Amino acid sequence: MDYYILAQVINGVIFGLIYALIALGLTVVFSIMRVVNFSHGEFYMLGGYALYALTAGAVTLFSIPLILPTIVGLPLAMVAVAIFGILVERGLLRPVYTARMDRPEEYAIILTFGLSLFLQYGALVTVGPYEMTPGSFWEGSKHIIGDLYLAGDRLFAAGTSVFLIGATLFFIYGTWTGRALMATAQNRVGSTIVGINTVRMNITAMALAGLLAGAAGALLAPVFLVYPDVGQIPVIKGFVIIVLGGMGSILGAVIAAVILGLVESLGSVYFSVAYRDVFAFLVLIGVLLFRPHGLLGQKARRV
Amino acid sequence: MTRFEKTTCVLALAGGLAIPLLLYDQPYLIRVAASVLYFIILASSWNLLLGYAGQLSFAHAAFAGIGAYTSGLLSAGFLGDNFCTSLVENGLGVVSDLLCGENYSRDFSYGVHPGISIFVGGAVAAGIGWCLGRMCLRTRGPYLALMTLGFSETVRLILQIEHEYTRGSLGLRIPYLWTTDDGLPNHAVGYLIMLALTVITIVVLYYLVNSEKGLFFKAIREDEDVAAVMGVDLVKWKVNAFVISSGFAGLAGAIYAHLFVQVLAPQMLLLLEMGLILAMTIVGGLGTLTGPIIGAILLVVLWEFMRDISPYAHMLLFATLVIIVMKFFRAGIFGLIARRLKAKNLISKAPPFTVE
Repeated sequence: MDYYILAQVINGVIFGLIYALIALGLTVVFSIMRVVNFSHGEFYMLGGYALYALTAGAVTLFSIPLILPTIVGLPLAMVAVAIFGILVERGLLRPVYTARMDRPEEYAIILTFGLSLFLQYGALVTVGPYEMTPGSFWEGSKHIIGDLYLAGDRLFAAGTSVFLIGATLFFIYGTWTGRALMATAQNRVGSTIVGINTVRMNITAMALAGLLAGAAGALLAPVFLVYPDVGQIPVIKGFVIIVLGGMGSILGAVIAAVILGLVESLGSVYFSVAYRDVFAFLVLIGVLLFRPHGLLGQKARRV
Repeated sequence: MTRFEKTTCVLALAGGLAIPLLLYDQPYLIRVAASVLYFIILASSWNLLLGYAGQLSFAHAAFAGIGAYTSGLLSAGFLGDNFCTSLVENGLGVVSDLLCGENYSRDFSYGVHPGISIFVGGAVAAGIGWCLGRMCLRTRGPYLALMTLGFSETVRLILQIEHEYTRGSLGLRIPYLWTTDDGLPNHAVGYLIMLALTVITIVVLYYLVNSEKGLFFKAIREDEDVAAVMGVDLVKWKVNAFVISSGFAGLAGAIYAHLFVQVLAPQMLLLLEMGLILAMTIVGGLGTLTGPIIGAILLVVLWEFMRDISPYAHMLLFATLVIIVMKFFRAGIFGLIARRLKAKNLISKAPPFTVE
């Protein structure tokens, strides 16, 4: 057995699962609010910084340095980013679907792009361009099979992702709130008529996106460290995934994420390592050209 | 045009021409003034796409980069010794003299003369703009933004990865377009060339948006489907908007690179550059010709004042401005002024976005 290829496949699946966390938030926000959140990568970055602030002891609260165990820091970081997401929805994105405005899509894209620059450069100005290392979740490398070893942090990230993806799918398909979310995504006016508070659904969607992006940022922080533009490449992978899976399709996003992870890791084995990040863009452009509704998306009907 | 508008144009042009005379002994400030002109061209041509044709593209900095790199690679001898010597061997010495000019610069003896390559750069950018425009015909709204973002990042990554040709992040050294006898660039002349290109851009855009074609663009912006029903050739005018704006961006990128940027790096294609162009257009006023000019001047001046504080503080301020302008007055600074001027009948048209 060629352990090198096996390692690449496993790595691809692990990355795919993390990408799925990022893409799930994007796709939920898109399906509910029809907004592509260009600042989603900075939500991811904030997750990493939140974990660092809570666990590394660099931040003091009432002159006590915060050194929480990382396993406690993770949910706190997720909640922090979720609260930030709710604030963004309340402060910036609400006019998109309440007020009458010219071309709301353009407004949302420019606004979230501006917010992304704001957060990135805000981080650069306040904490500087340095790479920061939060504590590890599961130290050392783990023996899998034969000659195959994997970093404990990556395994922990993959396991937690599976748990979170499962929880999200259960939340959306198995609870009343989740069904209300799907109803809002299908027909906003109709769901208002049957008594769904659509504004609350927007808040739920942004909070869910914040939770998942914060989790992805915090889970990968010990692996890739934290710095201001850490979210730029992952968020573009997220865009590729939601387009590939079909904009707004939740199951499609999970499948597309694993496909993209595998394409990247196997592509870098068989073609070129340097072009690793380019594959995603080629997939994006190819899908938009030949199958704009993605794998599981529904063909848009316009009136 | 009203008399007020004509006077303002003449005064602005006179001001632009006076800058190299006033700042003759301060080359740094002339460089800053030239960068204002560069951003005016980029923001104005991007404004044609978003402000007039309603196509939100994130690939504009990439087109400037494509123009600059095409021209830079040609003039820095990318064609290589083989190409030029084979021309001479095949009895095409005249073509070789033209394309592979000798001794005009220190060590770029086998490159195309920058005076020719800048136009090739602009043409290549326009050609790739045509392709991207064709590819984006079916995509709109967020899909178009994602597609152009993907395109822009792909170009940047390829330029960075193919370092055997482009020298990647090390930077590609390219010859000057215009040097004095001692081989150093003359910033005042460079500034005037940039000014000429800026004036050409603005004049072309003025006649374009005030003609029937401008109406086609605006119709597409307001509602594509209705425009198509009314007989606007969507394919033609959407692609044209891409070709014109990316051609100007490529030309501006190439000329600016040969005049002021001696070393090209893929960083000029970063989304940060796109953020600058976007901030200038939005803050100045989307959908007007004056807006991007005001925005570019204001933001570059602010940038210069903020250099002392922190190397990143300017972008933080610009992002804040973009958010504030989008949230509270989408017509931008010029939109605020224009309403007052229109009330006094000083200008002929009010900006398209209502100020609420």
